[in-house]
Amino acid sequence: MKRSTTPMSVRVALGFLVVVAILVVLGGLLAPHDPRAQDLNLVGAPPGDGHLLGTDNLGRDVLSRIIAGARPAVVGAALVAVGAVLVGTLLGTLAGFKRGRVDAVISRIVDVGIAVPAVLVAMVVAGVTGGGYAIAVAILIVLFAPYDVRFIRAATLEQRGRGYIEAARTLGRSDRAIIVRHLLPNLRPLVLTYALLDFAYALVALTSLSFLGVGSPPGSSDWGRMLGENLSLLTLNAAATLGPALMLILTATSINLVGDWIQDRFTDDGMARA
Amino acid sequence: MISTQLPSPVREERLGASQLEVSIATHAGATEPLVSGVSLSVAAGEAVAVVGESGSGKTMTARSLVGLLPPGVRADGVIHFDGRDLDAADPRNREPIRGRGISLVLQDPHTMLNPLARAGSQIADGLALAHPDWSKARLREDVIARLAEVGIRDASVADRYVFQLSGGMKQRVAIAAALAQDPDVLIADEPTSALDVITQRDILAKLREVQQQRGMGLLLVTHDLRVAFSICDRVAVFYAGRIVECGPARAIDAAPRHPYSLGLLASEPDLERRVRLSGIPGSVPRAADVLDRCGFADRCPWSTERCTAAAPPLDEVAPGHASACARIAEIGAELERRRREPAPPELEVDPRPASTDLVCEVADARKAFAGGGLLRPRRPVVALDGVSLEVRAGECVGLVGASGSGKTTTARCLLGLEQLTSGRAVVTGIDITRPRALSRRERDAWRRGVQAVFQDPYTSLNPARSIGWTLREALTRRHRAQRDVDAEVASLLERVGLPAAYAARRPAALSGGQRQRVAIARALATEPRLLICDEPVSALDVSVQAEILALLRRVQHETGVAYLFITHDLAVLRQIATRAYVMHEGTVVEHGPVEQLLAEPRHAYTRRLIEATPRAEQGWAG
Repeated sequence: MKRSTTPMSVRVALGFLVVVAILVVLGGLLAPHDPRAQDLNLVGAPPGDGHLLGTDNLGRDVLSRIIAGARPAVVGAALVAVGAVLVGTLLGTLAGFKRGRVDAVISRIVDVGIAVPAVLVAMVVAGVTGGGYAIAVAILIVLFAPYDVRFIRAATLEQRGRGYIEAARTLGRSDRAIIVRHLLPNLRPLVLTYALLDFAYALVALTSLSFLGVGSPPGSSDWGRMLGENLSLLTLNAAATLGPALMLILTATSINLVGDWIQDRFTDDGMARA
Repeated sequence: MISTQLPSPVREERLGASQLEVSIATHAGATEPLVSGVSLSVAAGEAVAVVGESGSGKTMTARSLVGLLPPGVRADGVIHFDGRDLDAADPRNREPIRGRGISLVLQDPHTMLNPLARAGSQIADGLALAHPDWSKARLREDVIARLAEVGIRDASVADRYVFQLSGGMKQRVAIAAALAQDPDVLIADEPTSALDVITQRDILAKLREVQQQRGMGLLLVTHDLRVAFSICDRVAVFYAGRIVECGPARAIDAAPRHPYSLGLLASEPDLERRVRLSGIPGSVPRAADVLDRCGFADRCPWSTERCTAAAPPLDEVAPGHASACARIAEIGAELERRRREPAPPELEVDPRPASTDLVCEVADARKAFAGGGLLRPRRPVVALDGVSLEVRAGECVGLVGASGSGKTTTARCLLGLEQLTSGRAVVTGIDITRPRALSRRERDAWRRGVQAVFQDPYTSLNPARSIGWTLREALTRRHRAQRDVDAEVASLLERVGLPAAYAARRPAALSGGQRQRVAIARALATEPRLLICDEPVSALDVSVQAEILALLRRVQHETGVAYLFITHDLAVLRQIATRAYVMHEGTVVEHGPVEQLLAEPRHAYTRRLIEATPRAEQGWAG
C-alpha cells in the first residue's frame, strides 16, 4: 500500500457526503418546517423571518424542502449507478473475455444504445407510460449502461492478454472461474470509479428528466424539481433555486473527488485503471 | 558528501554534470532521492556507457542532462555544456541546445516517431531547423544521404509511414532524425533493447561508426555490460542512484575496482561454455535508503562496518579510473584475481541417463492466423510452417530464434492458448491437437503435466491476489483432497528461495526476480513433467538473471522436470539447454546438441545469430 496522507479536499468532500447521507436517512425528521406546508401569505420571501432560506412560490420553507429532497435525489442516482454498472460489468467482461460471436452481439447492441438520442427516448417513454420516478431511473440505467459496457470491455481486453490470466488458463481454470476469481478483483477499482461517475451524472440527469416531466411528480421536494420550479423566483428569493443547485453541484463534485482518491489509494500496480 | 572531481578525460568535455541530484515528489509531499552526487562527462569523439540495473538511476541521469524529466521529478546540480555551466533545476536553459547540441534516442522507436508523418519528413524537420535556407529538393537529397548514413540504402523508405517499417528500420530512422541537426552529443537510452540480436548488432555498429566519423560524443545508457564494453571507451557503473565505478572500458573489464562491477561481470552468461553462474544475492535497494552508506554493502562479501558508517566517495584509484569502494586498497588485488580465474565449469551433460520417454512431440505443426481486415485483403499470416520437435523426459531443450520466428506460438499451442491449424502435438502422452475433443480427465492430466513460466514477471501474477492465494489455486489443481495447503505453499516458496512469510504479500511488494520465483513456484505446484519457459529471464537484470537460471537448473536436478526453454539469447541457451532447435520464419532450420550447434553451426541463420550475440570485446560491433 502506498504511504499517503488524505488531502484536505478529500476530507472536506467526505465530510460533506456524510452530511448528505444523514439527510438521506433521516430526511424530513430534521426539517424545521413541514416541507409541504404552504403559506400563501408568504410567497417567494427572501431568507429571514423563521425561514432560514426563505420560501418558494407556494410559500413552502426552502430549507426544509432541500433537506427532504436529499432522499429522492440521491437514492435515484444511486440506483442508476448500481444498475448501469452491474449491467456494464456483466456484459463488458463477457464480451471482452469471450470475444467472437458473444462480443459481436453485445457490441452491436451497445452501438445502438449509444446511437439513440437520449432526450427523445426519454420523452417518448414518458409519453407512453405517463412518466414517474421509477420510469426515470429505468430510462437512465438503459441510457448509461452501454458506456459502462464499452469501458469495461476495453479494460477486460487489456487484462485478458496478461500473463496471470494465461497462467490460470494453463492451470485449466474455466472461463467463469477466471472472470470471477482473477479478472473481477482487478477491475474492482475501475468498476467503482465508473459507478461514482454514473452517480454524479445521474444526479444531474434526473434533474433534466424532472424538468421534462418524466421524473418525480410536481410538488415533490426533489432537488432537480425545485431547481426548475423556482427558476422564476430568482429575483425574489435566489436561495430557492441556488440552494438545491449548490447541493447538486457539491454532491457531484464530492463524489468525484472521493472516487479519484479511492482509485489512487487502493489500486496496486498492474490493476485496471480508469 | 564531498566527492572528488572525476578523472578528467584527455579530450575536451562537451557535456557533463557535477553533483547531480535527482529526486521525486512523493504522495506525502516529501521528496525521495533517485540519484545523488553524480558527476560525469562526455568528450568530443568519445563514447561513454552508463551501465546499471533497473532502478539504478541511469535513465534519470541521462534525462536530467537534456532537461526532459517526467512530471514530479526534479534535478539539482550543474550541467556543463560547451564550456557553459547551466542550472540543472531549470530545464528551459536546455531548450536552445536540444537537437543541435544534445540529441536523444529512446528505447522504443514507436514513441519517438510521429505516426502521422512520413519517415523522411521526421528527418527533414530537424534538417530544416539547422538549415532554414535549404530548398525542398536540397532537404530531400540530404534526407536520403542521412538514411544511407544509418544503413538504409532504399530511398523509398523516406516516403513510408512509421507503421510500414520494421522495428530495426524504425530505430534507424529515429537515430537519423536525432542526428539531423548534427548534435555535439547523442544520448542513446537503451536504443537496441527492444530489437532482436541481429538488428541490435547492426544498429550498434552503425551508431559507433557514425559517432567516430563525426567525432561526436555518445552517451549510451544500457543494462547490458557486453554492449557497453563492445562499443564504448569509458564506462560508468551505476548502483542505487550513485556511480560506484568509472573508468576505461578495457580496464574495468580486465580488473574491476568495485565488488558490484565484479558481480555484474560474473553474472554475464558465457556463450563459450557452461559455467557455475554466481549472480548477486539480494536485490537493488532504493537510493533513498542508502544515502549515508555504501549501497552495495548488504550484498557485498567484503563489507565491514566502515562500509555502512558513511557513503564512500568516488576516488581515483588509477589514472582515469575511480571507485567508490571504501576497501578497494585492501581488496583490489583479490577482485582482480577473481576476475582472472575462470568461473568453475558446470557439468556439460546432465548426469541423468538419457531417457527415451517423450514428454512432448510436435510433428509438422502449422499455425495460420487470419490476417487482413476491413480494408485490407484477407490473407492468413503463417506463424508456424511445418515445425517438428521433441522433448524427452528430464531434458532441457532450447528453442531459439529472433522475434517473430514462431517460438512463442509453438509454446502457446502446447499450452492450449492457441490451436494448431494442422499437424500433430502430443504432450505427456495425450494428443492435444484438437483440445476440444479431449475428455475432462485427459484435459486435467494435460493441464497438470504441462506448466509455463512467462516472460514478463510484472504481469504474470494477479496483482489483486496475494502470493499465497496464487499458489493455493495452483496446488488445488493437483488433487482436490483435503491437505495441509499452507504447509505446501511454504515448501513451494522455500524451494524457489523465498521466505514462507511472502505468502501474505501482494505481487506489487515484490521485485521482478522475486515475482519470477513465485511464477516458477506456481508452475511447479502441479508437479508437471514439462515446464515451458518463454524467455523467463529476458526481462530481468543480469545479476537476477543468473540467479533464476541457477534456480531453474537446481529445480530440474531435484524434480527431473523437462524444460522447453525459449530464448533469443544464445549465451543464456548455452547455460541451461542440452539440445536446441533454431527457428526462423516459422520453421526449424537446424537442431542438435547445444555444444555442437554453437561450435559448428550448419545453417547460415544460426551462424548469423551466433555472430550477433553480444560479446564484451571491442570490435564485436564495428
